[in-house]
Amino acid sequence: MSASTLAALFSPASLAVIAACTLYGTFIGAMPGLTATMAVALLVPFTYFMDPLIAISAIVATTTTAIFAGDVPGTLMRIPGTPASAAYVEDAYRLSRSGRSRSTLMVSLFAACIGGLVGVALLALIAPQLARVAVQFSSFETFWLACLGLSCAVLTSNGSVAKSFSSLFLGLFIATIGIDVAVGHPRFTFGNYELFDGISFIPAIIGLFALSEILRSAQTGHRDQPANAAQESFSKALHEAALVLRRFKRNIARSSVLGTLIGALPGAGADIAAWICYAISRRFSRHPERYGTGYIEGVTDGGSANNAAIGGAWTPALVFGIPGDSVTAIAIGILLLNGMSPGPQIFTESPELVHTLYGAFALSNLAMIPAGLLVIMASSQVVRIPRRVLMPCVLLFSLVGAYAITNSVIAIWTVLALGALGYAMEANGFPLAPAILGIVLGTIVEENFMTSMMKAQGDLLAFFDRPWAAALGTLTLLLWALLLTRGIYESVQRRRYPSPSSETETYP
Amino acid sequence: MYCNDRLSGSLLVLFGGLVLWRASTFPSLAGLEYGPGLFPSIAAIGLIVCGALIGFGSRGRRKAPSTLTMPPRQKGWRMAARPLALLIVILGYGLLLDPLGFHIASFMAVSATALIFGMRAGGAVLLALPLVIGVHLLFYSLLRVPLPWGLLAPMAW
Repeated sequence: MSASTLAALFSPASLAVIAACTLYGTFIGAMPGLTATMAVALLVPFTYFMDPLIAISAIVATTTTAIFAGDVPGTLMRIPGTPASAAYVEDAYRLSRSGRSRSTLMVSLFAACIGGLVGVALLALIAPQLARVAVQFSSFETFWLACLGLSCAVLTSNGSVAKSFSSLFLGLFIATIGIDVAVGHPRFTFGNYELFDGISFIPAIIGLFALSEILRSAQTGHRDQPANAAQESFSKALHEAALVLRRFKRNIARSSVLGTLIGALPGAGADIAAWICYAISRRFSRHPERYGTGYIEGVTDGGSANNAAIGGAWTPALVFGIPGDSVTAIAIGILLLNGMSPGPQIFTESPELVHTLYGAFALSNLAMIPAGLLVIMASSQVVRIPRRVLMPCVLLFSLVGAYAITNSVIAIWTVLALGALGYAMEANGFPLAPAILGIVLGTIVEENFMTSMMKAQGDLLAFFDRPWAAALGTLTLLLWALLLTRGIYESVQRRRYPSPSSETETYP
Repeated sequence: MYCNDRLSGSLLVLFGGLVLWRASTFPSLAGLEYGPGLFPSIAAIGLIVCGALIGFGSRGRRKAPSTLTMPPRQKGWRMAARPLALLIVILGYGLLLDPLGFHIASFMAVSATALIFGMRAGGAVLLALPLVIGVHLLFYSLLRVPLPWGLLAPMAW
């Protein structure tokens, strides 16, 4: 890391933004029902007015802390603050019921910090190597990579295959609105000039992730109060947490590495990483029967895995410009708005961006510890902020934030339409992540397909001519075959057993 | 807003059909058989196939899996009406933002939302007033977003 990057990272403005975003992420993550993606979506209008380097730090700091803070309502009220905390919520909640909420949260705080640091270390190690290969890629390889990313989004999502694909195709459709890349024909604009540039990305994100959550929260009634078990003292909890961390250091190491790798898969984010690492931990544990009954081992695994995955998710985003999860999808959108296109050339053209990213990760993981300890000590008050105060604020910020991007009412209409769509989709079991990847990747897929086709004069076999393109293409086709088989298997299964338990289907 | 899979599947098929029909009217690239219509058509065909699978491929009567981040939805018309009321508030906000201006429209929207979430009228006003002023300072003064003044234009600063 060069001295100028360090100077930029430790400049007062950058430090202030990281500190503010750490607190903001902690707060949003700790509110039940407000997810890390929503925290980033609401932050985007502000990043639009920031220097891109500071904007990246802001996003990194917010996600890092929001994913950890999601454990707070999960532990106290059995309502995970973000989906990434859902894997081990049962264990954490039961520990809290037996009066150990503070030590449990401290364990997940330190596990998260270690996971996050391992994640960014691996990112710094792997990404430049991958970039060296990726510089040789042309539109053919980029096309296949984007297709791969889209397919992974379906493969790793929680819903049924048909519903995940529908969500993906809706996203792809939304991406085609506006002037087309090849000949400049306006598509689905119905003569509305404001749609010629396409659906504005940020209002779309705010609609899908923020408004849909406000709507969802409007439909749910009063929640139960946090468990009021006797609290441990600060020093006792810290001591307890240190013992647990030492005892399960192997789990944390394993899940940090594994979480990073899972996060690096396009489409799989922190929640998937937490689920998989929790399952693996249970499989290799000496006490698998104690999982789900208030056993701390799973918390160390899930807690480190989901934060490690945040770093991992940046690997495909930086190297190929293919987002690893919905947060990096938003981040890529911001970089594009700022005139920087992520891809292998970013390592040579703007290394300061990459280095700032690493630095911001390391810094925000460390800043998370004081912020996290603060929120742990105040946690029972934080989760009690009534939603009737919170939700109107979130709504106004959503609407004004969207308006700030386009300076026209079209942004409000976009938020309204996509918010209603997102709410309806979630209520019916359609996952949202494939849709957002479809919106981001749809343009990339189409652009590269059209460029390639013009280069190859319409010869489809050109997509398999170059060695890397052939390899990636074959991989993509194999994945499609796999998804097809799974889809058919799923529908046969459903015919045989008309109502499988929704729980196993939602979270494999 | 939960509807059964048969209905959502049919809606997807219908929507895909509409997109496919529109996309077929797009011009094609010189020398190739496809052009701007290709990707919308792919998306449309995908929607039709998935919609058919969801609506008619199985018995189509499975309940939507509840998301773990939220407590289960409450039954009853009042709860079902709340999201709808919120959508109407946003619709009104979009329509009134330019004529009334940011401050009045936002004040109304925040108060209405607070009322929908079960706050008393006095509380709603007490929440809306400082919030609108705060957002004004943050977005208009600090970020220099040209928020419309509307009716309050004479006293703009």
